[in-house]
Amino acid sequence: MARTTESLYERVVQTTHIYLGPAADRFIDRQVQNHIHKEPSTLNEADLILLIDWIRVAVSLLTDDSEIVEEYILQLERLAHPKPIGKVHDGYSQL
Amino acid sequence: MSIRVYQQLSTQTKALLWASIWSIGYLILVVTLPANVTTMRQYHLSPEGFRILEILTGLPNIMVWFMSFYGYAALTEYTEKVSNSREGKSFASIARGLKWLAWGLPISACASAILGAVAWLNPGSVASALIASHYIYLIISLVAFTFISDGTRGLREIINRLPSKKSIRALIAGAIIISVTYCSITLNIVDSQHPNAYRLPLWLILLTIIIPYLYAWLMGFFAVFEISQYRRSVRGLFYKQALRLLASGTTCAIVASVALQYLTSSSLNLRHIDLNWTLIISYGIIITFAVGYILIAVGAGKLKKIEEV
Repeated sequence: MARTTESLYERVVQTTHIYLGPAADRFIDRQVQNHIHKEPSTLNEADLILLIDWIRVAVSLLTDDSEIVEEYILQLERLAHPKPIGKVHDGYSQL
Repeated sequence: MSIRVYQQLSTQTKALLWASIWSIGYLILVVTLPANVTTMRQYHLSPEGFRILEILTGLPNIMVWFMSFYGYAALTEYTEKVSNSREGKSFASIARGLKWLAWGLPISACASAILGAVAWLNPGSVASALIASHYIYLIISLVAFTFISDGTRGLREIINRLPSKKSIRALIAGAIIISVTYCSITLNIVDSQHPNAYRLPLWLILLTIIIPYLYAWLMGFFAVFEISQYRRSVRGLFYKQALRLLASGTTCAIVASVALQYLTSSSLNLRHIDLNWTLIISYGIIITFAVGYILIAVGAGKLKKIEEV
């Protein structure tokens, strides 16, 4: 069980890494600790929906590009309900 | 009490306070000290004309000091946020180097004003004043570029990527062109004037001026290469956007700083150039320097925001 929750945290960080690079783990840790009030490693699927809402708010403060925000949120939502993955933003194409 | 108040100020407020102190100090020096005879002779200026020129060139310089102090302080504030991360130490080292470059501007301007006045009051000390001003600038440059280079090396180690063959060849070619051109210009100055502009024997010029300057500049250019390599290799859409500003700003600051040092260390060559052209070149360089620090401040601000939301 512990291994599954840890894996979810890691997958959330991995997805976030595409958008926030080296700041990803710190960003997720902050969101989980400040808004879910849990240790990041204990993150589970039930927390994910609330976490995604907070991440949407936080990332909207970093960019006005709602398309990228929605794309990021979609990637996170797929972690909660795994489905075949379509085209993933690689973090480079817009640079 | 006042120390406690100072300690409570933010890093950016402290930096701007220091910029204000330097600016006031510099203006007092310009107004009160006797005019620099060498420059007056060089451009055929009266003491009043020289003073007006000093203030006219000094005011834009002071604006650049404020921008550069603001820029390095913004980066320092970001590094305080990420001090425990892998890249934190590297960015802190770059911020320290940029701080030295920023502080180098008012330090060298004030030192130059004081030494110019000393040379006017005591003509026998012209040589000592010239030597001291050359070494002050050189020491600042060496320390600044060593910190920046340490920082960018740390960033390159994080991405663990070796430079490509093409980029190594380009770096070697660039290093040779800069070194040969600078040596040629400096030796030409030394050879054409008696006593020479540095008031030092040739071997001492070679060992303590030419080699250290080239060492510092090449470290600076390699740092530019390393930070751009880190920017290209690191992931993160928003992180990269902010980092691009920071890397471009650091590049502008380093290139402008090297150009300024190049110009200052071979300033006697400018005798052949019209005063207007000298001012245009100088302003071009300091504007590049200021733009660099503005980009650093904006980039560091964006990176800091990522760490705060």
